[in-house]
Amino acid sequence: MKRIKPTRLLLSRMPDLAATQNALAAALVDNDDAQGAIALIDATQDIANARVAIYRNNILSNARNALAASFPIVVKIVGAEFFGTLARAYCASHPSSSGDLNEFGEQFAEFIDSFAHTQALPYLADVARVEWLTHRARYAADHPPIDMQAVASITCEHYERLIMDVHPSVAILASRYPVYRIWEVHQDDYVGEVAVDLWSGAESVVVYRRQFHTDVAPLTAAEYVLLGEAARKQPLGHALQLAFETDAAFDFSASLERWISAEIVVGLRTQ
Amino acid sequence: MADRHTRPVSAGIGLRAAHYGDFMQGHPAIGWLEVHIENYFGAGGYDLHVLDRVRADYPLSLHGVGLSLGSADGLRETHLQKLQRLVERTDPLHVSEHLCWGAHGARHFNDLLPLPYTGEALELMISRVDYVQTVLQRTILVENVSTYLKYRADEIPELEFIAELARRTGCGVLLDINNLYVNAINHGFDALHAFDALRKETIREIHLAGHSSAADCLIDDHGSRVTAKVWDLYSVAIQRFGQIPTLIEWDTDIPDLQVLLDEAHKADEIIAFAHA
Repeated sequence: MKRIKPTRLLLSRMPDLAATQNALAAALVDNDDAQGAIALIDATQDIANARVAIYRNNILSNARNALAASFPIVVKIVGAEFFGTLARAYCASHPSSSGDLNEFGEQFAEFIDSFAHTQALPYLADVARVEWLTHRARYAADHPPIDMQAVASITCEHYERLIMDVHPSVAILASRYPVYRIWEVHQDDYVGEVAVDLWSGAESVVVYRRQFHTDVAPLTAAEYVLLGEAARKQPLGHALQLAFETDAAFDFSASLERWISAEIVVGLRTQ
Repeated sequence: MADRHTRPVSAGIGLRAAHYGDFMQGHPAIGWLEVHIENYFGAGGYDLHVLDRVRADYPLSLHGVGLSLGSADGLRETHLQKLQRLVERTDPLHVSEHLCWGAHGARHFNDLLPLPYTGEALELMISRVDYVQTVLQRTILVENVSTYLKYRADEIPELEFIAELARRTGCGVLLDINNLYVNAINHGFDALHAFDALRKETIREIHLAGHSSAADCLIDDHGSRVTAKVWDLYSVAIQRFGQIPTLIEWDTDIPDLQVLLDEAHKADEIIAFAHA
């Protein structure tokens, strides 16, 4: 370099890159751990503190915005202000570990389960789980709908050994709370009674993406069992047996028809 | 697919999800598009579908914000592999990242943090850019970032640092005029004078965006129109460095697409005026 400053002579006393990044990282994580970084910054102590705070705020605001985009119903339920508190505490206990902020939020539901100030909202973690599955479904692999001609060629005597393939976006969730009802009343296009009886009983849901549109649908107990077995690639005979044990009156053909049209089930094949 | 080898001289815009509909339902008149790679790291879904669609009609540039080239404790390989997959999928006009760091240990700050501009940092950046270019089998562009602090250890002016990085690795320079202006105000140097460090042929792309004012410094928030001072600096850059593909970026309070197209049109006029 052309313009060598006299400070070059002092370089041996300057911290190396790793030490500089250690110090700044510590200051960004914890306001009370900023002294190491402040000493490295070419400004008065007050200005250096203020500039580190700009980064600290940017980082928190990026993380909060990413979380809010993935968990819009949690935001609606708790309000933007308390969501900010949640986001700040989540960042502190489960900091981002990826350069892709779309991955931030994977442990948000477990965090809500354990956070002292959300214990009065025991259903909130399951709402967050549904939202995280929806977020994941948005980025899941594409898959064409079921090939009905291939299905028609399957002979009846093989049905017990059939494998029912679900779309890569499909995920199921069983909740002790009416999680579908809560999800439904918070949709932008929902019209009707908004009150939810939180003690109306357990509900299960399937999260899926039909072409490019993610959606959530309620599942009966037998449907939940069947889809769970299908997702684990269990043969249909075994899966149906468990489903009928759950509900002897289970109407499999009606469920299958709905799932095929929703592109939840995308294949039926012999092993 | 639009040919990536035909370098567009007109202005482009950063494609954001808020404007997907405009591009899926029509064909807005714009020279080229740039996307943030991290929004297309999924296995499938609508974002990738839109990306494939626009790639068929426009030259496309891939811009990363999360690779953290300058982390002293190593490069995050999975992030680079995802970028590599996207480069293979889209055969982009440019692939760019920043002169910064963001990851430290198991933590990622998801921000563009300033490097000390030292000989050690320069050697690290050279080895990282070499490595990324080897993996991707193409040259990348490295962008100057806006910063709110500078280190006592700084030895090399920012644009000299990036010019030397380009000379040593063959990478291109993505010159962000707004970042340069923000830094000139925040750190008190002459932005025009800083241009002297750059060699014309290394500058492959220019970024323009809006900033806002805080108590004692400027904040690079990409949330408003390009300011008059930044347009002035841009005009000088275009006169000096030639017809460089220029991108309008907008990331907070994203307005209607037409506002971005208007800003891009303004850049086009400046390019046309300087080279009439």
